[in-house]
Amino acid sequence: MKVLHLAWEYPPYKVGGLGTHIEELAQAQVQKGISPIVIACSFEGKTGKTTENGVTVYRFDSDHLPAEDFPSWALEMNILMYNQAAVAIAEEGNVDIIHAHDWIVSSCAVSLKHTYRIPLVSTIHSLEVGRRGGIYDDRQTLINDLEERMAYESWRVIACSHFMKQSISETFHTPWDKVDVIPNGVNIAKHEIQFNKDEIRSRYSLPHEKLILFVGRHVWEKGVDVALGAIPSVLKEIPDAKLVIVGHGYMTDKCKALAHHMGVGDKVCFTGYVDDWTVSALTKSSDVVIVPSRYEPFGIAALDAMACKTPVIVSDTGGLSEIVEHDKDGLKVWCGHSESLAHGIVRLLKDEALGKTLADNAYEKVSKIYSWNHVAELTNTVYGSIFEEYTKNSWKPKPIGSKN
Amino acid sequence: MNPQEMQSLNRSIIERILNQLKFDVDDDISKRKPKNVILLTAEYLPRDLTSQALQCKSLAEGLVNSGINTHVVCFDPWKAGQATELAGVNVHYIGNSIKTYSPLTWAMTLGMEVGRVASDIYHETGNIDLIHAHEWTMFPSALNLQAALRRPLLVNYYSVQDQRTPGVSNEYTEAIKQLEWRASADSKRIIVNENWMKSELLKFYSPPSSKVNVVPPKGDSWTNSIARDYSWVMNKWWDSVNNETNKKEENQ
Repeated sequence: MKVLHLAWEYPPYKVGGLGTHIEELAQAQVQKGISPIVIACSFEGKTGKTTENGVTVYRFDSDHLPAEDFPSWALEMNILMYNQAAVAIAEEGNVDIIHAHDWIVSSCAVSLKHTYRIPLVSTIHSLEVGRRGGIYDDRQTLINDLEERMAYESWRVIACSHFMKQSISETFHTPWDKVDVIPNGVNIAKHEIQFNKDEIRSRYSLPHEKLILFVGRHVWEKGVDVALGAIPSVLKEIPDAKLVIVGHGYMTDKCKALAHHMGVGDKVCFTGYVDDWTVSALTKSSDVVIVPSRYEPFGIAALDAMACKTPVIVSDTGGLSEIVEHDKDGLKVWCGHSESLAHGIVRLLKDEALGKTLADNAYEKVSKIYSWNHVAELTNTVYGSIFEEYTKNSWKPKPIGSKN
Repeated sequence: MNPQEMQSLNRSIIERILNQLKFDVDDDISKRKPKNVILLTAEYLPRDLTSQALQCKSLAEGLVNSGINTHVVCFDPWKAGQATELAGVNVHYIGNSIKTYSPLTWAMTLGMEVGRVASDIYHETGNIDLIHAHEWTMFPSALNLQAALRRPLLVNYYSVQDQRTPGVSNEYTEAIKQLEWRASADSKRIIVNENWMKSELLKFYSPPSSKVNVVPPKGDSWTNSIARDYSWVMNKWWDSVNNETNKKEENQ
């Protein structure tokens, strides 16, 4: 079976976690006998066809598109992506399934589906209405409409959590039984790295300090301000605690000012962006990882912490609620509530045995449920059911390019 | 030079001139005439914003009269989803369910519907031999259809962005200019109404002069001129497809 993945980001070009998700899924699919073809934007001007770990990747030039804003850029990019997909289909032969990832590739996906009459499956990783806490302007309306169109046109929709399934169904009136829940995966092997723990810790904290780690974009939905708000209460109980905040975002400067204003500036370290290796090393070196998101369709940061055998505290919301079982493989705290978060942090930092138990259970869980191998299996099951229905269906193409 | 040599020389000169004009000496229009064409236009009578609506209607009916099965895909939000036969022309109306905030985002999202309906025509009603897109709003989907269906594309320019917003260069206008440039480069034939428009097109986008045909939409025979262009494009298109196939076979 040949699957055409439409991915605006694909490693080494990475904007968020989407590119890594598609890369891991495609590579796992190769092991399952699927032939994935990825159509992706260029990276540093590199275009053309390559084969990367068994995955055929076609990159097209998307670097020089004049666009007044991101949605316009995305729509312009879709025209070029379609063109590249047409080339790929001509070269690689018939494709069985088109797999679109998020609204950014929606217009290309919908057009390809109809032109080639190939079934479309889409993974919706998050929704505009959730990312911004509502739809407030024309650009958001456009994105929201594109998400709805893609969900409507898809043979089946894949959501990364039951929370997302509920959101998609409520927002777009997508039939409940049209949406499959397949979680994201985590590559445990990527976290198996060699490093000097003391050296890593010394970059961000003093040797005796307890390290609390936050990794994520500094935006409202990730709750970076909630993390910061918990620190004064934590310090009352554990004066040696230190919060390390990895990442960047529009709230970074505000949070730095807030830390200073609260008088905890010396107990909070803002690292900015750091590479994947350092994030892994830092996660493994931390005493606790916190994921205090307000909106989280899935919560890959929690999964990474679990794969690093570091105890994790998550807010009881969205996909995070589904990943973590309270007091078994992590702690859940109230969403958007700094005091509740502080309570969880203090509890874990004071009880190392509890932390170890939770971390061990969490590691076992991610090994079984959240491996890419398992995710690929579930995805292939969805493909199989689509293909079975499609073969019985009268919606079929006339051979492309043929004479009368 | 004997009369035979003279005749041969004359013939070669005529052939050369006709080649420059892109017509073969033994051109038999009826043999290469497309059977099914699809016209893509944002406007079509009775929904009339500019003269494009009338011109497209006249063209479609003229093509039908010359025996070409003609489908028109046009924007009409009130009739979206409907298809009807008007004076022998199969007219398919489309709408845009996406709420947009600029003509550019409107055109690019409308492309999904243009592509869907044009593809359905291709798959369900036999075939499309050729695609003829009118004005930049139809270019996104037209370029894609040419690439995917492997059918030749003709484009009509009624104006260019530099005329509509003279002296303005921002990311919005540049995006439209890039679309217009791509269509001028990737299409197989360009049709304009006036010599002046041809010179403007050459000035802004530099397509080969021989690729641009001036066909004023006047008189009784202008649609025949366009039908003749279609035949020429079809001829060249299938020659290139056959050559490509032969090369592939030789390589194998």
